[in-house]
Amino acid sequence: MPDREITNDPAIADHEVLLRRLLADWVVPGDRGRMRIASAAFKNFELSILFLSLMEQQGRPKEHALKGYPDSSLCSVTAGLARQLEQGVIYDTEPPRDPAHGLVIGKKRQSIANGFAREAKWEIPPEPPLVAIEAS
Amino acid sequence: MLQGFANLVTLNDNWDGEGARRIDPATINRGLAAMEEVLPHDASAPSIVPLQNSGLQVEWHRNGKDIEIEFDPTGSATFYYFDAESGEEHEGRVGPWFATVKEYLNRIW
Repeated sequence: MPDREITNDPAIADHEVLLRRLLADWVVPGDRGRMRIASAAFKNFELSILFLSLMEQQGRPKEHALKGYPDSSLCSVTAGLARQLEQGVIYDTEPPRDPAHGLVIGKKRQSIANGFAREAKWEIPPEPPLVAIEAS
Repeated sequence: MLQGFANLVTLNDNWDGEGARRIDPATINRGLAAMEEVLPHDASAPSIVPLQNSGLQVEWHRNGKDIEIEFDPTGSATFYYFDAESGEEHEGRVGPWFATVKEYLNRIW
């Protein structure tokens, strides 16, 4: 079966900030006492993101990206990083989608998904949470 | 670790809010069986993470090294290894008896 087509909108600048919601299941213990982002958050062929610039144009704070998902966190990557990792970036704002919605499109091998996870910046919270110490 | 697998069973369709299907039960069983095969007795428990393709991955992050094993609902399994200090990075299909994965796991204990 041939790989699905990768589309890319060259009008989207490399410095565009792409917000990615993190389910609680995708935040796992790291090895320096801090939680880390699991690569699982970046494995979908069509990865849902929100464009920070569109949200700002719409007068919406980035906290709106977590509306309805109280247990989730928020991180960001850039369109430039996505392209370095062999992905395309497109707008996907037609209803019923969110008016700031976009997609990062492409096959994401484990090395690519881990590249995203390593380079992603924490937005909400602004730092990775401390690893909880389980009571014995 | 068993709790991590049990948590996957509780996920319903659309568990991610983006339309993902529930985690495939046969894939959960394969992941569990694999842990019996690869984990040393004194190993720390991995994180068990759901994937949006109905699969799952198990992962360890220790001493600056990362290991993942991804179980796909189609039946395939792949691994990923990364050493932050050296930049060494490998990925590929999990071979018979998890020999390659065991070799990388030995590097992180």
